[in-house]
This record gives sequence, structure tokens and C-alpha cells, in this order.
Amino acid sequence: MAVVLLIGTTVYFVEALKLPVFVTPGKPGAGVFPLMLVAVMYIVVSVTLVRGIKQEKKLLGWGYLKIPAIAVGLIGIYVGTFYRLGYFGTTLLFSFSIALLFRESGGSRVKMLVFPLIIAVGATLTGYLLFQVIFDIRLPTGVW
Amino acid sequence: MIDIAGIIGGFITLFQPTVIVSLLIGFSIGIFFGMMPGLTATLAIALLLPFTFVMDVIPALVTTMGIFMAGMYAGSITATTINIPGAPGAMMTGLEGYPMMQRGEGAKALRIAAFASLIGGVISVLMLMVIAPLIAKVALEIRTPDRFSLILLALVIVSVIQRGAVVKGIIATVIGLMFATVGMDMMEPIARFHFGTEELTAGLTLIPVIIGIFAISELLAQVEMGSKGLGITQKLKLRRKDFIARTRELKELGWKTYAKGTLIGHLIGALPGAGASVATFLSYAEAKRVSKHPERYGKGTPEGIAATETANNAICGGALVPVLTFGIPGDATTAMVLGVFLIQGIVPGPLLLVKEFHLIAPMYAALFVSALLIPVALVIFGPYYLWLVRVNRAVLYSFIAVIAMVGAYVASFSSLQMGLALFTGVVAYFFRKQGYPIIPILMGYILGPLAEVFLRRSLILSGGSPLIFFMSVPSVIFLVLAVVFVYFLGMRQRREHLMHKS
Repeated sequence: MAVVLLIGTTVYFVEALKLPVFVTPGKPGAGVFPLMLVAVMYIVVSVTLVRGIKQEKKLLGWGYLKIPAIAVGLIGIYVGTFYRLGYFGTTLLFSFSIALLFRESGGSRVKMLVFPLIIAVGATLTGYLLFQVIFDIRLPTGVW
Repeated sequence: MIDIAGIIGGFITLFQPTVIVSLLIGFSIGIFFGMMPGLTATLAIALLLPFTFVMDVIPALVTTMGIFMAGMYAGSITATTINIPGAPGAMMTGLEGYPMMQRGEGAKALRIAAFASLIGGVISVLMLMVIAPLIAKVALEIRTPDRFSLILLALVIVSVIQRGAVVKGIIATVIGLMFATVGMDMMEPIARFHFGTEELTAGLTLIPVIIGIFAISELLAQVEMGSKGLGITQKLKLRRKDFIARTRELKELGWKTYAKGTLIGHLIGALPGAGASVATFLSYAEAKRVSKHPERYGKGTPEGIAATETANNAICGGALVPVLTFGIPGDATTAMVLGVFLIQGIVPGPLLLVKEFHLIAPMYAALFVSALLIPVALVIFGPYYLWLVRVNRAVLYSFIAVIAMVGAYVASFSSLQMGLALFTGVVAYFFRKQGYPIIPILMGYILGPLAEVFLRRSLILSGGSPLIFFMSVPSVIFLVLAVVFVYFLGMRQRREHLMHKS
């Protein structure tokens, strides 16, 4: 984690160097605060690395990340298609997929698919009711 | 000077039909979210935020207050009945409540918790009504360098208050500060950290960040757990009359328990980032210290429940003091109250209590009435509480996922902001997995723009000399306090932690 933070901070630092530090003598520019943050971050991350904080959980393999990674992928697809394809279709598929991630094992295949489908319809309609009907917030209908 | 007429006006406003319905809805949401492990009142407010764009300001604020007060109490329900705290602040309640539940005194534990929450909530709100105008007067006198030092103090506290994880707290705070620097600079027409993309010049906006940190990261954590439920098998057979508070029981606990718990909760609530866990722990420890029977603690003593729940709900009043007077949030929930103000175009700070008291007074009234509703709700709905906890997680989190992501979209009608909500959610999730606190990320994000503006303005005033921060008494006081907090909460804790390990 400390290494990831170090890399991220360095990327941030490189971008911060493009900003003016002082607009005129005595007038701090847009780069001052970010550079201060970079300095603090480098110091604390270095402390972390030097101490080798034992309580930092090491990522032992990717096993535990599998399902959350799938969830991230599903959310990413939802984000990418939400405006283009419209609210109903994308939300139905998205909520169905999320419900599948929580399904319990055992039971007939039909039951394992029907229950998530019911949840998906419920979640989609609830979202529509809340956002568009009650609060009059226009949801996307797709670019076609 | 307390504006009594204004406060009465606030109560009158509260009892208008749309406003009281908003409060009842917020209260119900707060009970549900506060009670359910994995959900929090903070998450509820995060999901509510997109809707506040289209709500009137008073119903929006009143709903938030209902969620806040109810949510702080509701964690004690599952902590007592199934030994799974619904909220971090209910951990200490579970230590005493669950043993009482096991020996058949569950109803007693729940009614003591409800009454203690009422006392803590009501007295804390009364303290808020008295203290806030006094502090607002002081706040009007502080200047730009003092404001920077005060925000620095807040950032220091929120970083070092993380017990045993000070360095991680600092990292989380700085990450939040970095998030806040993305987008247009506030003082010069320069886009920062947009990596060449035009869309990122708008920066990471408030709602996607909040939804990412609280909703998306929680969704990912729950997805990781998969279908493992809470495994609740016991049925709770209680009657409504079991939940009515007994005068004799309450007298046995004594007024000092309630008074100390309220004071501790209110003061801790005012400290940025301190949170319910710190307040309830301190109140519990104090109650045990002065108890005639400390050996009973941990085995189911009503005194312990009274101490923790009083402090828990007293936080609500305390947390509003800095946000109403200085515009500095006392915790994640009040950080989002700040968000509601900003969405509605209201500028938080000392003038808020002067110019916009007609908006603040209904908030006071909402908190007050919500506290009164706690034992009433227990009597009416108590028998059904455990049934609610059995809600299927697939149902729960599918609904939350939809509301969260669509909420992120409607905040600015931007798919990019949905993507940024996902990004901050993934960051927050990894932070949680690695034992980093996530509240400091939000506090850094909220306070970052203020800190930067006050810093730069101060340096402009002084011609670039940092000595300006040492030339004003309030500024020096805040800086000294920051050093004191670093020592007592940071360095000393670390020494004790290392001594304990060895």
C-alpha cells in the first residue's frame, strides 16, 4: 500500500510541478498547497516504509479481490452505458448482476435467477419512482 | 444571546405538514440504517444528498437531522439483541446490552438505551442552543490567519485521533486534501490535475466523493462477504409494554451518569473527526471508574448502557457547534450537513446564525423532537426491530447500488462523476482493507479548499511571510492546541501502543 501511495504521490508531484508556485513575489500560486501536500505525504509514506508497519495487511494473492473486482467491473459497465442506453435497461441489468453476487448457493437454477430478477425489477422501479416521479429528476432515456 | 423567539419559530416551522413528514421520514430512515450492520446514518445521508438539490432547504435539513439523531441511537438495537452493533458508537452498548439480553433482560436494556439516548439528545440540543450563539460571536472576531490555523487544528485532530493508526490517519487526510485540489483553482483561473481532460476541470464534486467513500466502498466490502448473512436465528418475543421506561430503574442509575455522558458526548462531538466511538468509550470508562460496582461492567450492567447511549446521542448537538459557527464539520454526518448547505447556496460560518437563523432553528427543533421520538418509536415498533434486520442482503445492496450510482449521476448529470464516484469508492475500499480510516478522507476533502484559500490569502496579506500565523493570539492558540493534540493523541498513544505490544 505504501508503494502504491508513493507512486500516486509522485504522479501528483509531477503534475504539481506544472503549476505556478508564486504568481508574483509574495503572492502564492496554485502550486503552493499541492507541493506542501506532496512534502507531507512523502514524509509520512517514508515513515510507513521505514517502520515496515506490520499491521498493514499484505495482499496475499488476489483471491479475496475476485468478487469485488467483478462488482467494480459491473459498476464500470453501468457507468459507461447509463447515459447512452438509458436508465431502465442498464439499471435492470446492473441491479440483477449485483443481486447475483449476493445469491446463496443451493436451490433450483430457476429460483436462483428468478429472485435476483425480482429484486432487479424492484430496484429499477424504486429508483424511477424516487428520482423521476417523486423528485422530478429526469433520467436518461438513451441517445437513440 | 439566545434567540428564544427564533427557536419557538423553528418549532412552529417544524410542525408544518411537509416539514414534520420530512422529519418522520428521516427518523425512520435513520432507525433502519443505524440499526442494520453494514449501513450507517452517514450512508443514509450520503444517499439523500442528491435529492436535496430538488428539496426545499428546511425539509432537507430537517430530514438530515432526523436521520442523524435516530441513526446514532439505532445501533444499540442490534448491539443489544444480536451482539452486532449497527453503528461503531454502539460497540460499548453491546458489551453490556447483549449479556442482559442473554439473561432475559433484553427489553430492560433496550428501554434504558432509548431513555439515555433521549436524555443525551435533548440536553445536547439545549446546550447547542446556548453555546452556538456565544461561539459565533467569538468566531466573528477571528481573521484569515486565525481561520487557517483553526482548520489546521481540525485537520490535525482528525488525523491523530485514530487510535493506534496515526500515520494512516495523516495519509487518509492528505489524500482527501489532494482530492480537493483537482479542478479549477479557487484564486487563479488555472485547471489543476486534470491530466489533459476537459471534463476533470470540474474536479471531484461533493456528491460523487461522498457516495464513493461511503456507499460504493461499503458495497464492495459487502460483496466481498458474499451471501454470508448475519445468521440470525433467534426470535425476539417482546411486548410493547416491556419497552416502557420504569421510573425506579432510571432513578437507580442516577442523574450523574446522564450528566457526565451528555457532557462528554457534546464536547467530543465538537472535535472534528472524533466520532461516536471515542465519546462512548470515554463515557463508559468514566462511568466504570466512578462506579460502586466496577466488577459488574462487561457482564450486563444498565449503568454502562446509560453512559454510552447518553454520550452517543449527545454527539449530535456537539457536532453541530463547529459547523454552524465556523463552517468546520465535527464529523462525517455534519460534513454532509455542510454539503446540504452548499447545495442550497447557504454559506456556513458565524453569520449563518445571524442571517439565516430561520433555517437553523427548525434544525434545532428537529433534533429535539427526534430525541423525544426515540423511546416512543421503541414502544411502537420495538417488537418488529429484529424482523427488519433479517432483510435479504441481495435486496438491500441492489437497492443501495442503484440509488447510489444514479444519485452520483443526477448530482451534475455527468457520467464522469459516476465514474469518479466509482474511483473514490475503490480507493476508500482499499484503504479500509488496509486498515486506513476513511472519515479523514472526507474531512480532508471538505476542509481542503478552505485551508488553501485561507493559507494563500494570509500569505498575500503578509507578503509571503509565514510569521503572520504567529502574530495573532487566536492563531497561536490554535497552533499550540494542534501541537498539544499531536502530543497527547499522537505521540503518547504511539508510545503506549508500543509499550503494550512489548
